Amino acid sequence: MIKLRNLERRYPLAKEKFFYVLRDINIDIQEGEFISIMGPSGAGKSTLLHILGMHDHGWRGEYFFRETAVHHLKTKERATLRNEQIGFVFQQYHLLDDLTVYENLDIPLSYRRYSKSERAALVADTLDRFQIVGKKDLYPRQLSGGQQQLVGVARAIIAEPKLLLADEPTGNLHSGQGEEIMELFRKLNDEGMTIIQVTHSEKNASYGKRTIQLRDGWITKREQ
Amino acid sequence: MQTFFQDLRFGFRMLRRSPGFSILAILCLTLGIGTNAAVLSWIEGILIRPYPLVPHQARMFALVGTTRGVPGHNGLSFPDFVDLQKNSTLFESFIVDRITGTTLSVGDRAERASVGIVSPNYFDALGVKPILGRGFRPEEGTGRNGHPVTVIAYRTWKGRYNSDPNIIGRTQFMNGVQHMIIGVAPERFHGTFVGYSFSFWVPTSMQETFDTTGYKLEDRGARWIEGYAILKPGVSRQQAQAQLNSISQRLEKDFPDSNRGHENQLVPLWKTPFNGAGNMTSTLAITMAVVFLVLLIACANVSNLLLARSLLRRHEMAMRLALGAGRRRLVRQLVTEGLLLSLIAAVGGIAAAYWCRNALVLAFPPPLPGTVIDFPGQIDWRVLAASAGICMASTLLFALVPAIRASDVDLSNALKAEAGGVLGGSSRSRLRSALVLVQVSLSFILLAGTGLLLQSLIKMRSASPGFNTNVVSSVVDLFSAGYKLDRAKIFHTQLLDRVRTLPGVESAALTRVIPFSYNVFSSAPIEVDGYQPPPNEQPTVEYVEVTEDYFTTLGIPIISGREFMRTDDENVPPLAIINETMAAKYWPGKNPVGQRLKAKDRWLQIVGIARNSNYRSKTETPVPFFYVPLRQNFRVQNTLLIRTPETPGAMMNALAREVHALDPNLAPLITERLQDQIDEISYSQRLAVTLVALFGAMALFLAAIGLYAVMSYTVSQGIHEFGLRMALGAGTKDLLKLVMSRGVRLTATGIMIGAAAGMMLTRLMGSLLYKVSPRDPLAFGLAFLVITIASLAACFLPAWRATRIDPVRALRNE
Ligand SMILES: Nc1ncnc2c1ncn2[C@@H]1O[C@H](COP(=O)(O)OP(=O)(O)O)[C@@H](O)[C@H]1O
Ligand SMILES: [Mg+2]
Repeated sequence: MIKLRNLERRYPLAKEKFFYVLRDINIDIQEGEFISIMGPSGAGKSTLLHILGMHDHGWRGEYFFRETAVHHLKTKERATLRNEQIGFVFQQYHLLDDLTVYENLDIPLSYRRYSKSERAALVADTLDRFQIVGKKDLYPRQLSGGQQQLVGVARAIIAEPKLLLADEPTGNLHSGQGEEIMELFRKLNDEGMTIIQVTHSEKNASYGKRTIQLRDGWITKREQ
Repeated sequence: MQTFFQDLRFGFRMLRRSPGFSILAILCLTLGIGTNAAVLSWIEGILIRPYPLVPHQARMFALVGTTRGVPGHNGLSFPDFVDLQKNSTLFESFIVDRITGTTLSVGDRAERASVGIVSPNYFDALGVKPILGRGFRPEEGTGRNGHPVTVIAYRTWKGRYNSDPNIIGRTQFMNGVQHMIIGVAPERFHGTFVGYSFSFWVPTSMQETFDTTGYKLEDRGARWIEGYAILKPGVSRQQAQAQLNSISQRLEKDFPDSNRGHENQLVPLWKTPFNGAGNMTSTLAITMAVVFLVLLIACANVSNLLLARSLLRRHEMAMRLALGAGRRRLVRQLVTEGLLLSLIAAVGGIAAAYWCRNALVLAFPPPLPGTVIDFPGQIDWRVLAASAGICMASTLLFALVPAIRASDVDLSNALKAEAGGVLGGSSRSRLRSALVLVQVSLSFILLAGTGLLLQSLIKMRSASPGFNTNVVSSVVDLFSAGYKLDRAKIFHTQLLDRVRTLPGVESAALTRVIPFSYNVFSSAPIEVDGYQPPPNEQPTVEYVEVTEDYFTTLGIPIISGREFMRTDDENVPPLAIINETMAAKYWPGKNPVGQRLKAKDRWLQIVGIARNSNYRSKTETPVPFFYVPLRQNFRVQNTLLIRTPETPGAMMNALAREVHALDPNLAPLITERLQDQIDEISYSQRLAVTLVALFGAMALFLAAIGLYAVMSYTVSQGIHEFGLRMALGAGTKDLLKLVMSRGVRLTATGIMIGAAAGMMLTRLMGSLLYKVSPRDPLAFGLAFLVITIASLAACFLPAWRATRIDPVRALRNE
């Protein structure tokens, strides 16, 4: 599903000098995989995830997404591809405080080609599936961290992406809540969704089928 | 002290770190302080202390004559003035001052110069000492034409006599009489007529020489003088007025024929109804209102900027508190910063004030050719301090907000929240919206108000005075040339006949005084058959002497009866044509044509009723007025009125040939359309249009800056949110739509608040408006349009910037 070849990401430091965040990254990921990326802070994990999520365009190398050569696409085409295929979960949940749970779930749909009735149906389905129907009119600050992240995941998959990217989704949660999210991921993966998550915890990583270790921008270890 | 410098250094660094904020804030304050100081000092200089070099202006009052039952004001007669002086004990002095003009020859050209007829105590009472020679002596005030002496202005001395040090004792020929120059006034003394510089002063004894309407020093009914009273120190206006009333009552008893109903009022200088001040009060009031709104907007802008910044600095404040800073220490830091900001702005404000002051003086066009105007252009320090004070107070007040808010927040929460997590806390977004609302509604009120003022000024200008303003008027100064009545009569009769045969002349007439001039109409106490005036009242009506064809030439309709004819001269009984208001007041429900009225001991038969027109200003309330045939009341000096499609210049040439044929020594003086005369006399209104437009534009500019600042702050606060929305799939168009629709919603609400408040506030402007409703839809509509466009523009830039946000950076957790 994903093929990265000689991918690198650098930031200019001084004149003619660069700080390399990612170097010579080569990864192959199949449909339906559940991958955990691990590594110390500052290793470049988030950067890699944002590149995969097509938020970041300042990289060099080759990136194939299901036969599409992303490196040849224009920004706008990448946005279209992302909207169709990818969902994103953040460590800080990043829910909009002024919107209710229902409205938060509706945001991604409002930026895609759904009719009003389709949107209402999808939001209702999702609320149902995540068992948060009772919370649909609450504001994020009225929810616990775990519930907020639950909404965050729901929002990420509501537009039915093929790939789910999650950057330390349990980083701000205590272990009980984290486990709940991981179970959810496993379930989604079982239903066929490809998942790539960044995590610091070996336990969370064990939910995945494969781990990639990053250190100083290099891939140091791959476990099958 | 140490900490103060530390605060100061940090304050400077904060200003430098956000140059956009600093420049905007300083610019707004500078404009606000500067324009206010300039306009207020200007007003202070013109109205409150209008006469440079005159001490004790606080004790000086204008002396205004009024007649019971008659609206408006009149002057003082010379005998009354003498009696006031003799019988009062609470007054230091009374002075008398009447502006008039003369024609001087400069080589072979003729030139007008302004002359002040003044009481002999004039210079002494005002405390102005001539730099050469002397002022007038008491005996020079009376004695018919007995004291041809003159004090000349510094400017006249310099310009006309090349600063001749031996000028005293030389003579100047004026109105056929050799006048001896006895003194030179100091440089900055211009006399006591707001808006004009006098060239010469002559004593009251010379009145007849300079007044075309005859000898008046012994006529108690001739109220031709503008007077001033200077109170003794420690005397209140009420006490002085009480004494004035008792003297007036005594005069009324002793001289019922001339003084029935006549009273004298002490009026503060700034309310002087005569001279230039009377013309300018409303203009200055309008200007002041607009400038005050500019100051208000400037303060609102800075407050908004500071408030906006306070939100950005909440984290810093919380940090400082967490690190152990006391609240007082925080407040001091913020006060230092606010102070720094407003000090820089105050310096800029002074510079702007000086610049504006010059611009204001330049903006004043000279009202009449040959006369020089002099408006005080000094910045008053008290006014400057007041404007700066207002700005500084509001700056400091709002600079303190972060400190107050910081001590309110729960530390751990604030620190955690700022560190990432929560997006767009709703209390913050409410405050943000409030900022925009305040800005929009204030700007709307300002614009609507400016629109109303502009519209009424334009209406005032375009309103018809009730006569044809294209008519050309011209004067031949027979009076200064020494013509006596018989010669003048022959000259004018022949000239009128010649002019009527000139090609291009459709009709022509003579009048003693044209409308909208500084000359005074005749006036007389009247009696009407069957009209009983209220007791103690003496109906007095103004009138003017005109020839046949006057109404035809000016296009004033005769609605009943007939116009004067060439045969209406001394050989037929005295006639009169009255205006509509007079007909309605004295002959209610009757037709006055054929009736009679008594004026100056003669019964006049009414032959016609003329439609009302304006006589002195377009804003005057309709007053009774009548016309008498010039040929029954000839005077030396008259004005020729010509209806012609020719230009005044072409007419002047043709006229010059005819005048020359009659008397080779004479030339027509001023030849211009009546519209020019109206423009000259209402120049303060024209000025007001310019000023209001200027300050209105400035206010709009400030308002747009404010809107932009608040809007772009809103966007910068929403950076997290926009980044997130982009990450969730929002495209450029989606974000543009989001920001713009928020802006539009806020603008719409702001306009609604502004319109509601504006409807109430503009009612207060009622007295400043002319034929415009305080809820005029055009003014409100335009304000709506302009604010909408301005705020859309102010939204668009920040909105477009929002679409350029890098979502990775926006979402990165730091
Ligand atoms: N805009 C940027 N400019 C310069 N360096 C950056 C920028 N963004 C991230 N970095 C650097 O890239 C490195 C990797 O960051 P990140 O991908 O967030 O690491 P991780 O998620 O593994 O902790 C860090 O050292 C960070 O300082
Ligand atoms: Mg990271």
